[in-house]
Amino acid sequence: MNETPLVHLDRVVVRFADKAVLDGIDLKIFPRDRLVVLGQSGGGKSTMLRLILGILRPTAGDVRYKHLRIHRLSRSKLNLLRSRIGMVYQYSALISSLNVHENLALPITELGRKSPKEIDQLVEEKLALVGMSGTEDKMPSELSGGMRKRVSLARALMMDPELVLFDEPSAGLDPVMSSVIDELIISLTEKTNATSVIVTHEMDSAFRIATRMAMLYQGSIIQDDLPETFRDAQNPVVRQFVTGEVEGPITEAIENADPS
Amino acid sequence: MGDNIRRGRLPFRWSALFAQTDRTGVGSVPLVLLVSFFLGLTMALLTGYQLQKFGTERLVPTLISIAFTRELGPLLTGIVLAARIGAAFTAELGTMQVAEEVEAIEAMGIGPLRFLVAPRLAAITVLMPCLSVCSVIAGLLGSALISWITLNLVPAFYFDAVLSSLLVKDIVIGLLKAAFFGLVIGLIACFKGLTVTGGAEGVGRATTDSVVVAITSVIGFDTLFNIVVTEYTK
Repeated sequence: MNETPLVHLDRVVVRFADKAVLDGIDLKIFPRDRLVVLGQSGGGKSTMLRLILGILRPTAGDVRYKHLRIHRLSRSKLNLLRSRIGMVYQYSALISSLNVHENLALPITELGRKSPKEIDQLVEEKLALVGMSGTEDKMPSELSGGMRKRVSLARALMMDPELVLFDEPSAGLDPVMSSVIDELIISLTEKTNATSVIVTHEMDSAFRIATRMAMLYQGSIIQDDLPETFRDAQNPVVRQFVTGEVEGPITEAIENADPS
Repeated sequence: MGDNIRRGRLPFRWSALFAQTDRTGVGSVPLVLLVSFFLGLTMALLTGYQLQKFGTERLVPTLISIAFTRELGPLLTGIVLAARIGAAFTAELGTMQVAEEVEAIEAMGIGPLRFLVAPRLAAITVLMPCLSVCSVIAGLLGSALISWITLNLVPAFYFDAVLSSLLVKDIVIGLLKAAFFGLVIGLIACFKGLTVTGGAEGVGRATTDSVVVAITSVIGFDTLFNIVVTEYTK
């Protein structure tokens, strides 16, 4: 592909103490991609999202958003860039002391210059997009897990982002609600022309959403391809992960790992 | 936050400041009044008991007014607020940190300092002197009551003695101290809250640490303040 990537993780290394969570990964995210990043729990998938948001800094390598090196940006420029990226957290991360309306209005009131009436309209519009109209006055504690996730998705879309990041969007949801969220991700990213990166280890969701998939294993991207190639993967690690078999190189590596 | 100031924006939102002010100030008034009233009462009782032996119990109002204005008002209010508000700030911010709410705020491009820290710091710094004044008034009322009952010092004489013994310097020093203690408590509480790690247990640990460190710091800074002020206002 000759297209300029929206995000480029260029030979990125992230170390926590002595452990390399990401060990020189090279990954390009192109406009309008729905890239699903697969990998084991604790394998560095969420770390990747935090690098893109500039919340973490790489130990080595570059994280670029278009031509900007994210970790070199000043605080004000980084905040400006973050306002163009939406993030949906695993456990929604709605501000518990604010109601749904205030949660959604938060990025606009803090960063935008819209009148209260315009903000109200925008909140209504985004809530309708995720099928949550009429919940403006509810507190996050009054919502179910699936509802919270949908409100979180609406909040991520408030600033009309170019890129939306999803950290385990189906975590803790029943299969039906999980499918609803998957369909929302597909329809909303298509409607808004947004690029999305979805981190998950739920294979059904992954195949439903992805236009492209990447597998992160032991700090490296071991396969980056179309979803169809993942179904018939030749790589034994990818095959074991996709099929969920007990026997295979992933479990062998866990058994052989030094417990210290 | 620095960027906001450069652009001429306030380092906090008014609505957030008013919400915190209401919680910090109005919610703390009854406790500060009650504790100060009882302390004023006890102090007058004990000093009066001693001074009566020398026939100088008429000095009780002077003693109590200077002690409360310069020392006990700000100190007592600081300890009450460190326990009540410092703990609340740390627990609230710590829970938000654990639930990734702080990171979500940062990820939206909103500075957590402007949104979470600045209103809390401003509220506690501005309200500490106000609460300290409440504490002084309650302490004086408590001591006036017990002086009237046990020492036969009528309230008119008591408050006349208070007014004639107080200097503007004492009041200013007390208020400055109170504002500084507020800032110290706020900084410690917010720092402890935003650096929580380790889930619910971490929040509990940070809250305990916050209260212990804030109370110790308030007492430590009070001593330091007294040494410096006494040295330079001789």
